[in-house]
Amino acid sequence: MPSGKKKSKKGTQPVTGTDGRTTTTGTRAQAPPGGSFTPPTSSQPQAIQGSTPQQAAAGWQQTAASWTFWALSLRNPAVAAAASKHGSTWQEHNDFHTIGLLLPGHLDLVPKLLKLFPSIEELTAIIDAVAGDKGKALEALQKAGILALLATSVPRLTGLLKADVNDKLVQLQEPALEALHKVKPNEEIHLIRQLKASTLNTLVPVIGAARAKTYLNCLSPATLVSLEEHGELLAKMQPQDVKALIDAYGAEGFSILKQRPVADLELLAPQAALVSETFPEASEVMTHLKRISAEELLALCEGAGSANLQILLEHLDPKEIYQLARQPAKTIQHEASLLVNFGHKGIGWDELEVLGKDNAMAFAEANQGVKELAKKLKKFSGEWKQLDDASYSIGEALKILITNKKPAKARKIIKDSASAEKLHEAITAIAKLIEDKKQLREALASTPILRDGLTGKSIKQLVRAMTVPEAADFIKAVGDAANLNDLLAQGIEISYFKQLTGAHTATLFTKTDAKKIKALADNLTVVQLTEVVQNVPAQALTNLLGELSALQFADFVKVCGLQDVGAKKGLITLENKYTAASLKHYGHTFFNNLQGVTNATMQHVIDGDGIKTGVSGCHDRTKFMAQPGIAITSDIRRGVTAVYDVKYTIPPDTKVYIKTLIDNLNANKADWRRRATEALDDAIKNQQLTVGGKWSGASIDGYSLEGYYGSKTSHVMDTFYVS
Amino acid sequence: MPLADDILNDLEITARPGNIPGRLVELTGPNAPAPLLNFFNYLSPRALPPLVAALRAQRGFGHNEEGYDYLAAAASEEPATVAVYDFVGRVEMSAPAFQRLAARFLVQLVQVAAARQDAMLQQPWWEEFVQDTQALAEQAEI
Repeated sequence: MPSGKKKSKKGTQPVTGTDGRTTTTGTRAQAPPGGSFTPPTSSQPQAIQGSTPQQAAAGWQQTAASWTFWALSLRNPAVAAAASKHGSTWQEHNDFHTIGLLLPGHLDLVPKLLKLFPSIEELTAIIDAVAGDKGKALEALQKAGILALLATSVPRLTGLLKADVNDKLVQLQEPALEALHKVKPNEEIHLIRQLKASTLNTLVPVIGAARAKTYLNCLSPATLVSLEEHGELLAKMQPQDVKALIDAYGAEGFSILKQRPVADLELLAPQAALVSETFPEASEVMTHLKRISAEELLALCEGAGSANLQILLEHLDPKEIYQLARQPAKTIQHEASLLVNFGHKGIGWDELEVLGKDNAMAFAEANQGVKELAKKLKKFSGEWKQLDDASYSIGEALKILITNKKPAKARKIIKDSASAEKLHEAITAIAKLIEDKKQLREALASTPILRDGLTGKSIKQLVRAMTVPEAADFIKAVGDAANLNDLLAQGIEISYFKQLTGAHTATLFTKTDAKKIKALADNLTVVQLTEVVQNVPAQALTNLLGELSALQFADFVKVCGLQDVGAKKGLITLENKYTAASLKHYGHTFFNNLQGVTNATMQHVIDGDGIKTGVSGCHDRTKFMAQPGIAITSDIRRGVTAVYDVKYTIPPDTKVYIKTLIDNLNANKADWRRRATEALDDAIKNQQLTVGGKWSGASIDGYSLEGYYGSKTSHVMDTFYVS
Repeated sequence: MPLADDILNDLEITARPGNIPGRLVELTGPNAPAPLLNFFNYLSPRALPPLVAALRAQRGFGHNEEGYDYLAAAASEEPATVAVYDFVGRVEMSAPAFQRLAARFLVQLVQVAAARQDAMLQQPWWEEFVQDTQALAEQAEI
């Protein structure tokens, strides 16, 4: 039972009202029959108030009952009608008059009041509760929505009125009241007392009073008040999460954080302390990391550690952070520690900008001379900055030097560079190597044949000049990795061999070694060498490359050509006729100019040049016998051949001359010219020829001939005769 | 200028590999003049008897484009000289040195022929040739 029952207990008994509800009743005064009342004679109700609510109520009951009822009946017939139904009861207790006094401005409500509070005791208790300040209570009831209040329980209403929350009640809107009504009265009062009216109106209807109470258990009233605009978010989140975030960032920070999806906030909340430590300024965090999910944000926190990550935040742009957040924790730590490292080395961010982040990291890892390097490069920054890709490679180059345990080399490069330009050159060269290595890695990854047997250097050379598939085909064609390694180790231009093709290169490897192949390439165009491989018979090529140096071979190819042109013999014929050894012995100039037997030769051999030291030339037997001044002492035929051995003197001298003659030489000079030519070829083949001197050889039909070559006229046989 | 005797004395005469008729030995030397080499190294078997006879008689001898001549001394006290020639040129030396060289050459040839039982041993002139060569060697005091 609500408060105020002290008065209602005076002899009251339960009665059944007109609406059938059971209520309490007691000794009640009956309304005057016929509804006529005498106007009151007392003063205004306000003048009758007592020092306590109870006293006041009693006074009202005694002095104003008839006046009030009269006023009610006059003003509102409906009131009178309603009252008449309960008239006896109300009159009996005089409480009816109190109602009338309390609600002079709200007579239209009286029927409802009467309907809602058939128990006069209850209504009286309400009035009692606020008797100390009835005007204020009335105002509260009025503004707060009397109906809503009245629709609730009496205990609640009386509790509210007693709890001195009238000021708040005045401001509360119906949704808030409804929401508050769903908690226990003491909790309701607690909420109203702790929170601003605006908060109650805004927040409580959204999240409900029960949740509001829970939040209030976690957060201070002031904090919760500050969150009144975020009701929807608070409704979705767990209070402990909100508390964690607010503890870490404060209400202001939470206001910024709330821009994130709820899922993010829920993920962040358990780590709020860590995040807060990492990002003391939440607003800054959110400015930088708008695109980063909470998961990534946490990764950053865990990966970098607070100090490092703060540096990252300060010096990386959001895009970089965004990318960094997607890296493994180790990477984040690494990059952050590098940036920290810069700080330790006194490198300003200006220098970092000059160097570029990637380069700077590499330089920092070099551990020495970084600042000096930055200074150098700063002077060079204009050009440096134009080298976006190159500068990245340079950084990569130094990185690789360092990661390959060669920091000393990196330091040396830096130290030894007298100028930024020099340094740039050095590092650019390294960058190229890095690019090569990159290609190498790609090649190795995609083509097993490149991995097997070939050195890294070889592969690097190959992929520099060819695509990976081309390189693979080339290697397959050559067929022997060791050979190819050897060839590439010679420092060849692989593009040359790309044109030569792997198949032709393979052919060369069947003939000679890598060193000579390289030398051939140095001395012959790729077209020339291709023609060699395609046209020179296999055995001949073997012989030639076996005997001749690459330079000699190249000279023969270039000077003599491969094929015969007219009477001029090409290399293929020369090798076949004279052997490679002879070609080596006499050289390309000899063969290129070789004329052999000429008409002059035949003239000398047939006609001779007269008597000098004996008869010079004139090996035609008939012509010799006709020589004047000689004396034949013997003339002996060699078997059945046309050859004669003659012995003669030139009187008066007794000096004996021996000479070989050929019968009918002049008549058969074509045959003998041929034999002489064959014999000369034989001499050359057997290296029995001295240029400018003697030669000896055999014709195909077996004549042993000899003579002289090139002593009178270069490249021409001087003479020949039978041995 | 005639060649120094030492040059001729230092020339080597060795058995020639192979089986070229009559050419059983070979004159070699790093500084050997071409006319000397061409004269001795291209002698045919038929030239041997008249050659040894000419040498013993200290007369000149010609063999196709090569040969030698005894040159008359300008003064009686000067030693005689020999000019050996081929198609291209000639070279002079003292007659005794040439005689010794020729004797050494022919003696070596006889020895190699005998050792190889060369076909020359069947020639009718062979025996006389050997005797003449012996006499030449004695004459040249080799």
